[in-house]
Amino acid sequence: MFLLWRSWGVFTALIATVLSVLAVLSVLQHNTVLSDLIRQRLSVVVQSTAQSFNTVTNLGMPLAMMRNAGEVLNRAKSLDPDIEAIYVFKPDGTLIHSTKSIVESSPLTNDELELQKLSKTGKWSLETDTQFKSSISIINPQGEIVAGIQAVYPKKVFHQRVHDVALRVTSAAALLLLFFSGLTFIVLRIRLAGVIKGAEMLYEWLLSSRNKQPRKLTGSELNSEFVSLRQQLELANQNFIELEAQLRLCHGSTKDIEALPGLSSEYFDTVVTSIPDTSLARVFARRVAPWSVVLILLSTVSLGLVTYQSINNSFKPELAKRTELIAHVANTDIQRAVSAGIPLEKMVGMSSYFEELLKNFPEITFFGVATDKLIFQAGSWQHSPLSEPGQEQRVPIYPLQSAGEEIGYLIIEPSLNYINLQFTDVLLDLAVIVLVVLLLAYELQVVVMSRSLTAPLNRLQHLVERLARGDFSCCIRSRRGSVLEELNNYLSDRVAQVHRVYLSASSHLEKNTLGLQQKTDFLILSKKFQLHRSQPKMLTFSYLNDVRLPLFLFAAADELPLSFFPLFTRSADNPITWLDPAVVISLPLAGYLLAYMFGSPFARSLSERWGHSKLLLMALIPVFLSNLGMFFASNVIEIIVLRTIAGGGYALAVLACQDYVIDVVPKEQRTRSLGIFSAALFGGVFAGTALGGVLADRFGAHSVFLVSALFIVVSGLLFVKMVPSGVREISTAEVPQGLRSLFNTLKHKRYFAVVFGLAIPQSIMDQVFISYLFSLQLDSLNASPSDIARMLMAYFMMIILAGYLLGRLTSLGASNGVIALTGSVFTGAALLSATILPTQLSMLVAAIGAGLGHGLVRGPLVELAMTLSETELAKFGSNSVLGALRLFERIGSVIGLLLIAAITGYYGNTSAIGAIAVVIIAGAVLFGFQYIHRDAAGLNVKGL
Amino acid sequence: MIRVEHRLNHQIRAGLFALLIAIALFSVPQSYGQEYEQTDGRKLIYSVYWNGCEDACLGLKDYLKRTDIQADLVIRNVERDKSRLAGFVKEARTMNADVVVTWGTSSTLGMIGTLDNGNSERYLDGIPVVFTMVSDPIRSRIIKSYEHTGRENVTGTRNRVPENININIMRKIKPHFKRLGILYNRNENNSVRKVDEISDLQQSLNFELIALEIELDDAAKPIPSSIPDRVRQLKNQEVDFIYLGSSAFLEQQMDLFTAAAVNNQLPILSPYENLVRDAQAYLSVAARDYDVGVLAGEQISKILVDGKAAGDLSVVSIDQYAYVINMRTAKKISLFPSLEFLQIAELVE
Repeated sequence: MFLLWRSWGVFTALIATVLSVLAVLSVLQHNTVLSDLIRQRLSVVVQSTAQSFNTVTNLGMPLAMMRNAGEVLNRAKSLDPDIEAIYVFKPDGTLIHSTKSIVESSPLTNDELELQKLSKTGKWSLETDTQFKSSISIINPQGEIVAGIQAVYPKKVFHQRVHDVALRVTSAAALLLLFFSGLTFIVLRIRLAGVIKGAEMLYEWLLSSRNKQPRKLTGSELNSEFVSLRQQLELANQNFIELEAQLRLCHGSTKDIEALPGLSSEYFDTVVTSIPDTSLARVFARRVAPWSVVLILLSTVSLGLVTYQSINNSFKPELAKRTELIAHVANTDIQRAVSAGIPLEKMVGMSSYFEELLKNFPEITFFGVATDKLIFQAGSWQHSPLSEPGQEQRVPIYPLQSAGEEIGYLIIEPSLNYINLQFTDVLLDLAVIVLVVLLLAYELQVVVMSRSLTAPLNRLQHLVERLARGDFSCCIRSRRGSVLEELNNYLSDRVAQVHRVYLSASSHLEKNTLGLQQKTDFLILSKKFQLHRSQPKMLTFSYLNDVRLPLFLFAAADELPLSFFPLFTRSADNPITWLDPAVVISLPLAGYLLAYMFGSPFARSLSERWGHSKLLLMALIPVFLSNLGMFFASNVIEIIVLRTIAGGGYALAVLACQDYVIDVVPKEQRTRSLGIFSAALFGGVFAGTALGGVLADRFGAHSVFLVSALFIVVSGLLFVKMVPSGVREISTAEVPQGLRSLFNTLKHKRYFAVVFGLAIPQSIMDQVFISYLFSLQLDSLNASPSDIARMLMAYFMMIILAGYLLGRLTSLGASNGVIALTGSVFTGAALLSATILPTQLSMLVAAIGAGLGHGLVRGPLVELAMTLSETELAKFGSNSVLGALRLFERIGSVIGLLLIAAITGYYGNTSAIGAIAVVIIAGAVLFGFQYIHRDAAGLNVKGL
Repeated sequence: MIRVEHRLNHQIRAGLFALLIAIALFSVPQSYGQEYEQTDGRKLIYSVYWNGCEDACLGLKDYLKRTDIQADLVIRNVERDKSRLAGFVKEARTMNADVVVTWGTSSTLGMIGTLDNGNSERYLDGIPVVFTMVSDPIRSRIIKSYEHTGRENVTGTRNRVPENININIMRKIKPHFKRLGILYNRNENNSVRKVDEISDLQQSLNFELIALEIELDDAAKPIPSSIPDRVRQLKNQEVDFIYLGSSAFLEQQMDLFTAAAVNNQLPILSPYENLVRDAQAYLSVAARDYDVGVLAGEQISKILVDGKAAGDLSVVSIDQYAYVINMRTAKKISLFPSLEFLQIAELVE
């Protein structure tokens, strides 16, 4: 039962972690939405005020000279009594008019003026600890910014609403945790019944073995795997008894043996070894994993729904308030004219006035002014004029009065499409957050399953199998935990004990002159049970799962600043004034890519020299320092240097993880494992990109770097804890890696096809199409920034899915060459579709296709290179082959970037995408010719 | 007890009396044409107004009251009679005025002449002068430029928006605006200059100017009764707007002038706000005269308190203008401003 309680505790902790993370992120997301809505509402006031001031500017009068500006501002302020102040400011930030005393008001900060410069629409807003600020530029007919208007809103109501929502979400999370924890217990109790019985059997075996009592051979109801394990345990036990008895016989004196000092495990040689999942672990995983995924999914989605409801509760009234405010603005303006004695029928400039409102406020689709008949209308009426009988059409109307009598009314119709779109936006943003949490949950679940359940079973079965076949050369490091660990410790102690006796007997034989027969028997015994004069080897097991979670966190940490990095660079002090600002902004990325390029070829040889664990730690240090430095960075040069440092560290860390996967995973599982590696990596990339924006929005860009640094520390700790230290065992000495050997590898046609047919085109697709052209093209197709971000996320999601799909394909027997070729053709076709029909939809198709294709190519690409390095290119060694692959794909992407940028400049985005599609398809043809054609000719090398 | 209270009341009354005396002694004297005896240690500001102490004069008085300038203000009324100005020049000299303030182009020219004849004995040359309400001091040759007046003892204030703004606003009110009418008084230098200035804008701002001269009598004085005829003539020539330009005469005849315009269904744009507020002009884009007086006070302060030479001070511009619309006139001539424009305009009935 201990196993059940332990598993339940671990899974409850997992659900608690997932719900906590989701609760925190959901509340942050809610705050972002609410803050955005309040600022949008404030923007209505600012825009309507700007409309008045624009009239003054268009007439040629400086705003500073407007005598009744204060009156206009006060009128705007009265639209919403909660508004703290409204200012009119000069381009240098000094205030010229204000609803408060100018002396008491502070001029705009440099950051605010920077936002004004960066704003393409002339509108911008920001949030401080205590205020929301919404601003707009006043632009004269010559297109120059002559002033700006800013409205300030206190955050008191916002804080109250946030507090309420946080309380609601936290309570919901706590209740869901209770419920799902209970459900987990029931599920585990049912699903682990067989395992629990097996564990009980193992425990009984352990007890009887310790107490040297006869064992009951009960357990007909036991799972066949456990029956087999028990049989092997019995064999191992018999081997032990036999071995010990014979060793004691060789020693001659039992008394001396008992007096021997114990062997300390600290002095054992540690050997890192990889083992495939044992059948027992697989059975166990299959029983629990789907259920744990379902439970996590259910708990996450439940909390997501609660949060969605909370966000909606904040969203709906805010949206209604905004519409109400627009109506109030229009109503007040018309009422002013009516009050001045202008008859509604003779009102001048209504058309341009309402058209301006419709342009500024897309949430309104129709304005109408009516007396007993409709005398003016602007925009489109969404309601059918022929409504069904009995179907009442309710539209907001606002009365207009003259001399205390109602003389007409203003009709306003909110745009249903716009409102639906806003709700969809909120839903999609929340869905992304839920997806991020699910990705994290999945990685956590894998680790939890591996660390607490499958890995101990794997270790036990491995050790028992060794001992059963009489191999007493290895033991396993002692751990605390379930009966499985206890049994592992017990058996390892036995190995140590045997070795103790063996060493004693060995020295006894040396000291005493014994007969040849005795010595021969001793040698035969040693050989049979694989005993050596050296101490037993301490086995440390390495798994793909060791690096998944830390890699996920590390990738997330690196991508956190991605969404705002160009803006962050642009807002920093720029001492490189002689360079075009657009170029300056790209320099941190350029430095990052260059460092990545130069770091890539050395990753493998360094991991060989230092071991994966040490290399990972060494690589994390610069990335951590870079992020810490970014927190304090204030100018562009610092940012370039720090980002370059991060690029080098990132390359080494990611490639060390990839090498770890290549080295620790059995060859037959390599392609699948590289797919899972890609999935974990891009899962982190996805999560980081999605979270970065939310965190930056709530806590500021600088703080995100601190979060990044924290993620890196956590991933570093996980690496230390999970990745076994020590240098991998190499069967043959690696050829030293040199520049010449890197280039010489290209003489091999198949390798050339892998590099130029797959690696470089895919790298160009990823680095140039996705990182550069994608957003440019979508921007030119009028996609909103959030749409672009979501389509990018679709790309990352498809890579993640493709990573898992890869495992299925390889298990179905598809070869790496065929998978890679399929992926490449898929990628090319996807880009081609975006070239032939450049629309937002075709770009989404391109993102999905390219993500799927790229995800399918990534794993097989490395595997193909590795297989070549172990077969046809063995003379170069895996260091050179992999190093060359990584170097050439980086060089290819840099050259590709330059060429594609030139094509973009001359022929446009669509042509540039077409060019990349052609490169990918040409590469696929080259690769296909080299592999498929030669395979057909019977020249295939096994494994390719 | 009653006795004590009585004594206290007596003391309070005595105190209040002393206070009133003190206020009377230290307040600014209102010496409309009366003789003045200068008090020791206090400065003397001599001001000359075309038509008595109006809003600009009140603005100056209020400014002096609320600041700590130790000065007395002497106010002289030209009563629209230029011949009196020579006497005021002499009087200012006799009284050893520390600063002279002038109102309007005619008064200013009468007190300090132009750049060409300013050194003549006839005009003030040693005493600092602050001119106000001069529509175009450069064209009138009173100063060289707004930054450097070119005269050691002269500085002033500006209170007019650039004329292109006025044309823009007329076009805003009447989008098909093409023809602008203007009446001018040949007897007023500023009025003639203003016509020249507007005329220069015709091509760049795409409109046609119809300028009609107000009839003069034998004494070369403008005849008020000719105003309605001239307005009718403008109507006949299909002008879209009448612009007042710059004329103290028309300002003085504002009731007659604006009523004639309304009768002919023509809107008047005036650079003087009072024509909208107090008469029937349709629209003004103007500063408040009161604010002009305050601005003149600030110039005086720089001369008397800061010790600056008037010639070193640039001509300062009023920085607050407003669009004021007379809605009663708008209704009479059925010309309503647009919704957008209504949001920024001050409306009067």
